[in-house]
Formats: sequence, structure tokens, C-alpha cells
Amino acid sequence: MLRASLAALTLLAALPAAAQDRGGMHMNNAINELGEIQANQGCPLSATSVTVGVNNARGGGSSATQQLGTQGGGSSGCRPLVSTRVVTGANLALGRGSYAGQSITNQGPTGVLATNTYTRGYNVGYGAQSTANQRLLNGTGH
Amino acid sequence: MVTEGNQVMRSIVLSSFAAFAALAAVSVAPASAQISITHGGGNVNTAKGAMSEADQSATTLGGLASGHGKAITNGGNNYNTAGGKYSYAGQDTTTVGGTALGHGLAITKGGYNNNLAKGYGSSATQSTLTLGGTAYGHGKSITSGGYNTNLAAGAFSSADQQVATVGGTAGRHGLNVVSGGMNKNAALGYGSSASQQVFTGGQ
Repeated sequence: MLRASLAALTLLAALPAAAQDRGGMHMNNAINELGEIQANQGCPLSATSVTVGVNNARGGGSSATQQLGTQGGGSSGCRPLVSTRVVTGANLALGRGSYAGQSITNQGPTGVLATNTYTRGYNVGYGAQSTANQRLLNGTGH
Repeated sequence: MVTEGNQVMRSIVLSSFAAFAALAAVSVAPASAQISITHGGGNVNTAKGAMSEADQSATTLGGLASGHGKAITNGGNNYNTAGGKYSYAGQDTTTVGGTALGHGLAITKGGYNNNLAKGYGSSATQSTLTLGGTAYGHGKSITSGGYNTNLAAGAFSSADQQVATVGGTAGRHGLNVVSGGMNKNAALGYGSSASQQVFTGGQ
């Protein structure tokens, strides 16, 4: 039980760090990109959204339900240059006959120059006759 | 047997619904970026206790890269395990990304998925759909969906795996590379069954 929790916490800590490390802006065509940057003045340089959920049902016969929603970080008329969105969830049904349900939704804008989207889930039915149910949605598009 | 049929059907229906929603969302997205990285893989779903159940659904919608863009889509590396006696693990992963315009590069990876039923009488169902990989202009589209493993290791266990990786359209003077091989399917346990369907192709 402890190992499962530790593994989940390690996962949740590592992913946002990886997104920061691998995301950001890589220059491909400097002239075009500088033009995009100038045209986007007044709008945010970057928008980063990290949504993390941890849901545990530990006791025998217990039930834990979690719903998380994140929206925003820009508008249709004013998008950030770089958009980074991270969704991670750990959902653990640890007790005997327990139920753990988790739903995480993250919706945000695409970046003018770059869009980085990371989604990762960790879902475990550990106890006897337990049930773990997890849904993750990470989307960009306005 | 009826229960197993229902589980497979639910998996297919969920996957189809997620794909439809994903395509709808992408088709209305007016925005574009020069670099788009969509990472929807690396998910873990485990039913470890006896008679336990674990259901996981992960959907990631990503991007469009313009100019000398790069669109990188990773939807693979998912793990689904039914470890307990009479346990059930069901996993659906849908990842949509990857259109590169201009001298674009679209890389789509949906493989390296693992589906394992190792408990006595356990059942594991895994469905992974990765859509990506369209490069216009002098573009390159590289798609890989292989290296999947499906194992029914426990006695009287059942493992079912569906992996679909769709990519592979390159415009004029384009380069289109598709690979989907090196898949492994085995029923190792006494009275076990394993079924695997892997599709890798272009749009």
C-alpha cells in the first residue's frame, strides 16, 4: 500500500518538472516567429496550467470520489505565445471493497508559437474487491 | 463469456466515442502553433486485489504546427495489469495530435503498450488509439505503433489488446514512414486466452 502511494507521488512530482524542462520555445524560423511575437503584443507570453489530483479510498468499504476541472489561460482574441498544460491523476482504491473514482478535465488555449500537452494517470485497485475508476481529459482548442 | 464480450464492446464503444469527440474538438480549433507536443501516454492501470476492478480512460487532444513546424504526438507506453485473482483491468487511451504545415515534421508514436492478465481467472482489456502525422509541403511524417505486448499469464486468464496508430500523410515531395511491427501476443497460463489486434496506417 505504501509503495503504491509513493509511486503515485513520485509520478505526480516528476511530470510537471518534465513539462517545464521539455516545453518552452524552440526557434525554427526566427523571422516568422519574431513577427508572430510582435503581432501578439499585449497578450500573455506564456500560460501554464498544472492540474494534479490525488484520490484515495483507504478504509474497508470506503468510497472516495474526486472531480477536478480547469479552464482558461487565454481568450479567443488573445492567446499566449506558449501554452503548457499538464494533467496528472493518482486514483487509489486501497481498502477491501473500497471504491475510488476520479475525473480530471483541463481545457485551455493553444499557443501562438508552441503548445505542450502532457497527460498521465495512475489508477490502482489494490484492495480485494475494490474498484478504481479514472477519467482524464486534457485538451486545447480556443 | 458473456461478461468478457461486454467488456470488449465497452472498450470499443468508449474508444470510438473518445475518438469522435477528439476529432470534433480538433476540427473546430482555429489556432495553430509552430511546435506542438502532445503527450498522452505513460498511463498505468492496475487491478491488484482479488476480484478488484480498475478502469482508466485518458484522452489528450493536441495540436497543429504551422510554418517549419513540428508536431510530436506520443500516445504509447501504457501499462494495464489485472494482477489479482478474478480481477479485471480495462484501459482506454486516446491521443490526438500532429499536423505539420510547410516544411513540417510530424512524428507519431503509439506503441510500446503492455497488457497483462496474470491473476488466476483475471481479465485485462487495453485499447490504445493514437491519431497524428500529417505533413504538408516538403513534409515528413513518421509513424510508429509497434512493440506492443499482450500476455495472458495466469491460469484461466484472458488478455485482449487493440492498438490503432493512424498517421502517415505527407504532401508533395514528402516522406512518409510507417512502422508497426514487433508485437508480442502469448497465452502462457493454463486455460488462458490472448487476443491482439494492431493496426498501423495512414489517413
